[in-house]
Amino acid sequence: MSRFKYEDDPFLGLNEELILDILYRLPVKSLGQCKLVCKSWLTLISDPEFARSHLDYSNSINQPLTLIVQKFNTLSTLKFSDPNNITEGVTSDMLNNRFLDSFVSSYYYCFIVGSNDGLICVYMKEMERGRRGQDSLHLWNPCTTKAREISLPVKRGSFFVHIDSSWFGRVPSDDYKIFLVYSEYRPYPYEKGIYLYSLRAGRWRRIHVSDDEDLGLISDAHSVFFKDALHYLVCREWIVIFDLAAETFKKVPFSIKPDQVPKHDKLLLGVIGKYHRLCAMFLNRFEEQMFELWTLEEYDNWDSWKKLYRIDLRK
Amino acid sequence: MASTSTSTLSRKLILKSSDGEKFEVDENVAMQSQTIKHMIEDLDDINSPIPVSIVTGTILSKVIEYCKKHATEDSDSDEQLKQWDKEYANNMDLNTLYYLLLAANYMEIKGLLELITQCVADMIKGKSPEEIRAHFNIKNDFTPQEEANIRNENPWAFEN
Repeated sequence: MSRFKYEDDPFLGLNEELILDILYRLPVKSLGQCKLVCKSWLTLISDPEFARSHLDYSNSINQPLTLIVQKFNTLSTLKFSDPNNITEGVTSDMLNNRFLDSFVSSYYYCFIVGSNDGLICVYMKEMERGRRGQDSLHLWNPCTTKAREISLPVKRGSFFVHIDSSWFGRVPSDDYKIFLVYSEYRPYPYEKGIYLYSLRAGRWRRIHVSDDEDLGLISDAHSVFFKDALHYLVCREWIVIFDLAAETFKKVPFSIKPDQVPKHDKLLLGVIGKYHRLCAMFLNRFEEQMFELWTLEEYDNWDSWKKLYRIDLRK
Repeated sequence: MASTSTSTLSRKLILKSSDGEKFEVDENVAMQSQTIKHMIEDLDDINSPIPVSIVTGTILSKVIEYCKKHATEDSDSDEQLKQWDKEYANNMDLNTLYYLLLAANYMEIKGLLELITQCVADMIKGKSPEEIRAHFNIKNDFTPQEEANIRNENPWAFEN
């Protein structure tokens, strides 16, 4: 192999921008190793601005992270060989689960609050009777194996707390937020609470809602993140929207006309990435066995639902 | 081939390398380079050679090879083009890759720049710091103590 003519070290001849272009393409673990190559690389990689640009680059080329919780509280990621056709096959990669292993001595149940930018927010539910209520919440980076406990907004008593819905992610104000809707099962009265955590501020804020907004209905509903707001389908009649920037709720009718709604036993709200639109999925698993997908043609025009396709599952 | 085409697309340009070598190329091939595109816009006489001042003839011929492949909209599928790119990059020694990278950057050829940066990134991936230094001839400017500190701060990067 021929020697470099440019001062022997080829990288010395490259401007910073080109070196960054190369480094952005590396996985986190490689970057950890690159910090030890030379001082100039260490300086480049340690810059907080680098982490941000690296995330943007990774997010633009990688498939969204699909996480699965396996038995014994082991987390794995799923990689589809073709993200546009999931029938092409899938492989699972076990994460470095050492952080979760540290909980294994006690009887706990782990569930994923949300995940974004390679960070996973996990809720550790203490299941042992005597330690009930001693749940904990953690932000965890499986790549660097670093974790940080986030103190819970709910006083840890002996009562049982059920998380009805949760979300974790990045918001445009350059912050990460955690959204929790929970029910406290203490001796009467039982209480419902909605809390929002800002990682930047390092504290929880209780979200107060007026009585007419029946938010008790956000229960076991998926948080659908779209246009910097969380969407919940409640009672198959309403879409409750929580604006993460303004931190306010609003409620709009789920307006597909009753005569157009197919007979279904499951209805889910979601987002179609390809079209960048909100969608609704109707599933009938028992009688007609069909799947229907609807999209909201125009965000904010809540009457613009349109059927995209219907699949007969018996075929 | 008969010269029936009179459209501007078939215009020829002459690129001149830093060491004086001249290359006649179709305009649409040269236009893959944003730098040349801007130069032509400001040029009154496109028949005079366009200087590509920091790129040698050896490298410029490689750049043109890439641009030709990506300018022709023939029957190559995306998959075939990707395969061609891969072989193109794999056939380069480090020295050539290095000068190609500088050329792609100077000439602003986005696709080529991405191809080469990815190729170099793939060489770094999975290597230890020592292997990276050896591969690229990079001088270790850390003291043993500094090196130990970085290892201690990032233990996750150095375990299997």
